[in-house]
Amino acid sequence: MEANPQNLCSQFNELPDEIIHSILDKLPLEDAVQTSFLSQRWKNLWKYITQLDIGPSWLESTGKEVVPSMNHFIRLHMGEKIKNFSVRFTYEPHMSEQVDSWIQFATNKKVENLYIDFHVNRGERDPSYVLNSCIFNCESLIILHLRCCIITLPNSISLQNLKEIYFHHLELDNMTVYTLTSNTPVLLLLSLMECNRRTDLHIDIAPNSHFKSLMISDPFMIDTDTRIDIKVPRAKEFMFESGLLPRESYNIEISLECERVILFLDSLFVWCSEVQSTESDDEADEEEQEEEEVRFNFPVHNQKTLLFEQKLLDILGFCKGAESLKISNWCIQVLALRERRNTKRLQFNCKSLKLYTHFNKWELPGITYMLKACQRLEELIMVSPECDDEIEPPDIYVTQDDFKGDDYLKHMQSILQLPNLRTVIMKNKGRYHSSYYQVKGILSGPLLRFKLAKLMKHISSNLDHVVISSKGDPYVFDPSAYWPNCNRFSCSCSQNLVK
Amino acid sequence: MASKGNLTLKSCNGKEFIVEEKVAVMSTTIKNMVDVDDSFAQGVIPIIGVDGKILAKLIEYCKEHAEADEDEEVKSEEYLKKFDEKFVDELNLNDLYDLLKASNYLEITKLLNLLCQKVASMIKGKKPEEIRRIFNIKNDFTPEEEEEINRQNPWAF
Repeated sequence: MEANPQNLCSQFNELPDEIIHSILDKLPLEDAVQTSFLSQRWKNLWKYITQLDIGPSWLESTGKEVVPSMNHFIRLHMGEKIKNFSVRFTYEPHMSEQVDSWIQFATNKKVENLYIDFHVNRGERDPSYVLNSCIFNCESLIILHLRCCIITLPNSISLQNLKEIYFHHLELDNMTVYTLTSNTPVLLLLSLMECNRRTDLHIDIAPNSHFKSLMISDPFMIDTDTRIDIKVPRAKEFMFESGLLPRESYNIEISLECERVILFLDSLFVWCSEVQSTESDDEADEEEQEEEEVRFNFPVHNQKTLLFEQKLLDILGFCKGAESLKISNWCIQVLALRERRNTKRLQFNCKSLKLYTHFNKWELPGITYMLKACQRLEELIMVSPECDDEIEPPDIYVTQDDFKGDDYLKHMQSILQLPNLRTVIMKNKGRYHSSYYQVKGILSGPLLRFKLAKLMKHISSNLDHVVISSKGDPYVFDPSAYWPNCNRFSCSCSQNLVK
Repeated sequence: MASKGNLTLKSCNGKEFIVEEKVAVMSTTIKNMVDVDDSFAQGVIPIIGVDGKILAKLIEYCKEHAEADEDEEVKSEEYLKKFDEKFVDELNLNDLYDLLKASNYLEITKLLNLLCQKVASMIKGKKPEEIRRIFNIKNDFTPEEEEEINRQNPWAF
């Protein structure tokens, strides 16, 4: 490119302003500012950029502190618009006035996407910045992303264009969500991450005709005497992520229109390290050294599991109407223990079920529980997650809850019937710790997936779409042998054929 | 004359291209012309200030993307990404400049963004002297002015 004749490429300097603005908007701020050194023409062009992103990399690449840099920027900016305003840094209380002026600046410049993250390098310190409430009357705002600050809603709120709200590490009082959603007529999505660690979380969404998606990710460390109350009269999707369901109670009212429910309850280690101390004695044995060793991600029959199980069933019960369910591995393991006790099952309306499983023997009863509970099932997807924790059943499981895998598969075949099931998809995105299981003779991984796929033939005669995809599997299916009526079949495993 | 569903685009140096309407209306400017005045849909649409070579490039880009919009399975996102990369990599500086202006005038937003991204990637991380050399930008500051700018923007460096 450098070989171009000079007279031709000098044209570059004559590009219309609007194109150069658009180029500068695609550069990191420091590069955009630097173009002011190029020539008279470029001197002020950067002052019209519409994207402002100052984060930890700013300090790294320029060595300048965020606060004075931001203040300079605001003084120099000449454009009418800041489309994206993003600031991520370590907030200190004495900066409050300055940060207020930034928010005012963003509001004046008709910001569309505001991203404030004051969590950087703060560890677990509580939020201290009280957000300038002018933002709650910012008509241009489309996406609001707040992490680690305090909001107090003004008496009048008008956010006519706000579509997405992401609150991360905020304390919300009982009326905040309702008041906010009452004044955001086109809101599509509300995401709450790690909010209300020490207080009840009350999520009441106003009946908003555009609202689609509620996503909640509950913190790991939380006061156990708090509760969560969720009321969503209109939503298509509900995602709930939490660890060990540490809150005292979970009360969820979702609308019948809700089609998709995703439950990820997979924080294992904290919970499990407590299991061991329950085993030895409730109070004693808190030696730290030992705790490190006893951490395992495996539920066994005990009081704590029962408590978790009850809360899990409560939550599942609230989601009975959903057409599509996604459930994480931990839930399957807990449901497995319940299924082994052979007590009552819930019934779901679910037509599409996605299970995150590691394809280990001890999950089979949990899978059975869900299949039994979803009589109307049309599509079953089983995926082993990309990053899986090393799972090792503890001794207590082996002595108390173990069973023979092959016998259990036979049992499954005899009790499961899913006449509507047409599609089965099994995918392996993770890796196997197969050497361990092989040594112990545990039915798991590729072999279990192979046997489960075979089983599907017996529980549904209407299968017409089967996908099995896994790079590591030594087993390959001959579809005509298993699913003579299957129209669409794909299997991407290795080459050797096993019948 | 173009058959139904097709449009004829004419470059400033007289070259005519018959393209499917769905391809041509990737350009908001053309879309507005066709929507407002039916006679454009029948006759020839002159593309002012864009020569045959550049127009052919624009059409090549729009064709890929119009087809992808229609059928996601045929052309995956990944395929388009590769196509885009190759498309901008093969451009010399003059074509890049002409395409920038043309896609701006014709309001082909996706392409304009892609091209601006390309220019941005050529600027990113470089010192002013290097940028001047690549784009042949003449430093027309007096030493005094240069000093003044240095004073104004110390916060950035």
